[in-house]
Amino acid sequence: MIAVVTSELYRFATIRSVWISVIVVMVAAYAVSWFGAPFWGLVVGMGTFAITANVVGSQFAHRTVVLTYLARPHRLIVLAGQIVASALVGALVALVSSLGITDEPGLIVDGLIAVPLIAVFSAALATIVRRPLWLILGFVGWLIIAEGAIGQLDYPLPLTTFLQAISGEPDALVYFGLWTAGALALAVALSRRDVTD
Amino acid sequence: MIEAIELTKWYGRSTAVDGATFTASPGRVTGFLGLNGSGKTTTLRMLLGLIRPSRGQALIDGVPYRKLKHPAQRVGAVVEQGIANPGQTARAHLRTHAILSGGSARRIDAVLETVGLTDAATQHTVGYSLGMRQRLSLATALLTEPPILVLDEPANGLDPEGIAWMRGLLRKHADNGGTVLISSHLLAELAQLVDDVVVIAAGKVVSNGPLAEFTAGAEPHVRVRGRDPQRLWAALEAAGAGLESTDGVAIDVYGLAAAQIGEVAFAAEVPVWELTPHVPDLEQVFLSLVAPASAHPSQQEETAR
Repeated sequence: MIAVVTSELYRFATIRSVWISVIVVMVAAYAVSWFGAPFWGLVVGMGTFAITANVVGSQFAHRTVVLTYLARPHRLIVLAGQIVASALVGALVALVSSLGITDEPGLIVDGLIAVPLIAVFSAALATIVRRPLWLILGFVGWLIIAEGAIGQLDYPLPLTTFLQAISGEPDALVYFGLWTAGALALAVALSRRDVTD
Repeated sequence: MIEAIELTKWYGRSTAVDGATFTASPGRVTGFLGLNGSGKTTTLRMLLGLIRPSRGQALIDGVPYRKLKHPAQRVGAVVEQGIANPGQTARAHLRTHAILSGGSARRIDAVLETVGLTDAATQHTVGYSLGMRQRLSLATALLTEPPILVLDEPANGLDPEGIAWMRGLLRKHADNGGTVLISSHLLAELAQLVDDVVVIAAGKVVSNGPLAEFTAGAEPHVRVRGRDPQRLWAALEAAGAGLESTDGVAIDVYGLAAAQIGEVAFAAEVPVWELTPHVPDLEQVFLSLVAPASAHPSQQEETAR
């Protein structure tokens, strides 16, 4: 699995649009962190979700997943490697971008757990959906319509619980962990799907 | 050694591949021929573990692909046209694959040179032509120096020079003891390369064997035209030849050599205007095999997907 993690991290570092996105998210999250931790959490969370969805999902969109599966036919190991690499990148983005938050160290700790978790959530969804654009647009739509307009961010739905988790609510972190575990379980169940055109 | 044993794939009620059985042996280039939608790609993907067979077995060196210890070091594959992330350079793409496959990064320069991409190694692949991307796919397949190559339409996008280069590369690979299984619709190119032929039509293997046997089964004929076709026909018929004509002027003669036909025409006092031996080529034999079996093959596979 180390080879998969290493290759995924190398992919993060060498795909131009990805490392530019990582820098943009870190700078943007750092900038908004001066307005408070919740703003930082929203930007870093959504940014990490989008970056991970793009990296993992684009392997299906650009078909490079075929090469990955040829080199590593055990798909659960590939999935695990993608999950670990995504979590590491999420942690890096959270750590670097949180340097401006000096008055709420507890929130940084929450963020350093929740942000890698949203990267894992995103990586799992990307292997299920296999189309990064659909996933990102779908997630934004879900966030605005289902969780925002309808749910008023009151129900224990994925993004609501994520935002509550980075605001220091331990129960919300558990709920978001459960959402992530659910997405992972579905990704595992669907991991052996045929790779066709 | 590649073995397909009763390999079958169903998609719902449609059968994309139906009991395909064949082998590709070391030291030989095996051509895998079929019309679009005949089941070639599905079969190759089953061999490589990308698609799960509904029935049957796909074996590489006696075991399923996913049970190979270091699969990418045993098998190099080109399964789609020019796979690469457009935001990566060719060198980064190959390094990613080297990390994944356990290959040596020191081979990267060598394979880039082999496929003629040294000068473009630091370019992002978004700017690559189809031919360049296809060369990069071949470089990826060759990176780990695998003894077995499985190539699905590898010549797509290559210019004539590139196709000739690839032919030489694959011939050398087989001559060095490697196994090559290649599908292509460029039959004239394949005819110059392959040792063995597997023909698939509507999901079924309809022919499987050495190229020489494949074309030997089809009867050669001589096309003859003369000033008096009816008299010539009668004379050739009397000489025991099998005859066909589509236009009443040119006669396709079976069972007699060109010299014998010339003698018969001379004896019948018919001046001969044309006398052309026709040896059936790979394309003619292939088309004669797949025509009856492939009523609507592409439709079938499209439906299956």
